[in-house]
Amino acid sequence: MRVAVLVLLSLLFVPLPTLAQHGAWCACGGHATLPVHFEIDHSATWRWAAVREFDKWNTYGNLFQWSQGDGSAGINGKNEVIFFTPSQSLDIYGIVMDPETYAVTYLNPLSAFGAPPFDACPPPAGTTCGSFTETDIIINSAFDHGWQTSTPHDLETGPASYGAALLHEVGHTLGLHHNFDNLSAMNDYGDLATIYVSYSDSRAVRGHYPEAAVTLLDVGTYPFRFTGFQPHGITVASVAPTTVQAGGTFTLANFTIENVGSEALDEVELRIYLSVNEHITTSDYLVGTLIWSSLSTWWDTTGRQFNVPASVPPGTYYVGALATYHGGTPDAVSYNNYWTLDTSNQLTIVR
Amino acid sequence: MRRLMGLLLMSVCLGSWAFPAHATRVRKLTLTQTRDQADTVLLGTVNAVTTRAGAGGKMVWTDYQVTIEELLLGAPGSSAAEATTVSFAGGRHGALDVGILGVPQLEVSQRYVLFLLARDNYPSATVGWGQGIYKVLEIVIDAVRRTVLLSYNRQPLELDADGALFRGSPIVVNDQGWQALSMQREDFDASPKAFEPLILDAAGKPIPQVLTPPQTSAVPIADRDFADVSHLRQFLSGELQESLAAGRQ
Repeated sequence: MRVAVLVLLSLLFVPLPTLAQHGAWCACGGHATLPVHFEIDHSATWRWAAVREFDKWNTYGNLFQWSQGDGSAGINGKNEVIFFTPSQSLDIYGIVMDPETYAVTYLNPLSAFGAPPFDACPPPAGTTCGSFTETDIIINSAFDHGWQTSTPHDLETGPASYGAALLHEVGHTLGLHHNFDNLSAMNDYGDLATIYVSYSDSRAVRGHYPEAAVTLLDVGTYPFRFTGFQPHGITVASVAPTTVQAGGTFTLANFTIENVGSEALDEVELRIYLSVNEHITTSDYLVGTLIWSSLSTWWDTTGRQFNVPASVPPGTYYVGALATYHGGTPDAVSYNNYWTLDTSNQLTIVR
Repeated sequence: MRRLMGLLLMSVCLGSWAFPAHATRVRKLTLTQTRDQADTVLLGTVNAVTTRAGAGGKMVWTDYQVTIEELLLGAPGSSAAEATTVSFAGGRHGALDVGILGVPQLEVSQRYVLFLLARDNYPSATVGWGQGIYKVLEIVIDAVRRTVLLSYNRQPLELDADGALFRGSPIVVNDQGWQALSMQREDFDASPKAFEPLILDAAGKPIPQVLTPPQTSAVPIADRDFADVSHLRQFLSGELQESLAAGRQ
């Protein structure tokens, strides 16, 4: 009997083959059964904001299902998302979140995320990984700058992006570890960059959960490039100069485009526009098109020059981009097909 | 030969240091904010680690016993303490195996500067999770022994030309000794980065490109002015300022 119990216990800690860490991506541990069911214990506005982030991960794999929770959460074997005050998190989970912490993920068993424990990539040799029984995401309702459902341009002082925080924490519940060497939702960027599931992330999901992987075409473009650690791990895209003559030239620097999908993309185009508003469309003023015959990932480090057509009326314009493939076809994943720079990088056209 | 052996020993010791852990989603703090939020800042060495179940068995806590070498900042009277316990959420204790993802971990026998919060039950006892943790390392660079205060994400504290303190670009140890870390992206495919694009204007004509390499501020590691504990003392007492120049956080 004792032997049988020991064998059973040892089996609990045998790494599941599909959940074991792999050198090509940074994941260890995860849920043994997919899709993972989450209860979202939010009011309607925040609940739909949460669904948007679960759906971003679901784009690349059949990973999550969700249902509306009853507004409570706890250590109960269910996977839950909830806003908690410090006193609530102390009462339920035995911890207090300080005002600087956006959110945390409670995990049971912790050793399934890596034994011996490790945080960021790459995992140490000999690390074993296991199966999660409960993953709860606790959003800090006392975060000192507050929350918003949109993505702020202000990385330092504005309210935090709920979506950015949740996308990151949901990634942890898949077994994804911190990924500081790559453009990744699992890096610790400010809000601007963490709203995207990147090439690195989609590869991690497909590699870690091959049985759930979704076949899709997806080109993603971002108004920044990966630079490493300081200060937010990215350099935000910019234009220079910000005032030019109609017919003149300006330089756009530090933007990224990636093939986030599972299939090869051909004739990928990134069209750069000037717009009188923040919403970039094909009706805006086209100033240039970048074309790749095939694409994995590409980022600008040098700046690219574009000519402002003489026909563009004087005025101040937003600079933005739209990405397509196969000669102008938009893909099915729209949120990462476009970007617009903020007002500090508007372009003023004069005659 | 002794220098070489020292370097080798240091490399072996530090080579076992796994890639730095870092806090989960936590707001980035300046050095000044880190200092101002700390209740105490101490220099000490971790000499033991234990785990315990928290109240009600909801959480496991990992307790690091730290021998205090010097209280760098703290309440009057507290400098009499010779040791303290620094606690982080998560771990395994008996049948309990629960935690919070991304909580920092300390190493036994390692010397640290720790910016500590006095409040109980925070997942991290250090300010800003990993942001309040600095390893104190003696390293040999170009045959010169130097003290480096290395942040949890491998950024050394440095002094700029005006003598102000900042977190420098990451450094890493490898077979050649200490080197500036060059950020490596994953080895995605045979061609990790796509070829350069063709760029056309609005009329479909190619736009000639003048590609200017990005400016680099890379300074040889031997020329970098690493701060030591005495500089940190001055910063904590307000005699030394933080450099808030772009890219220096």
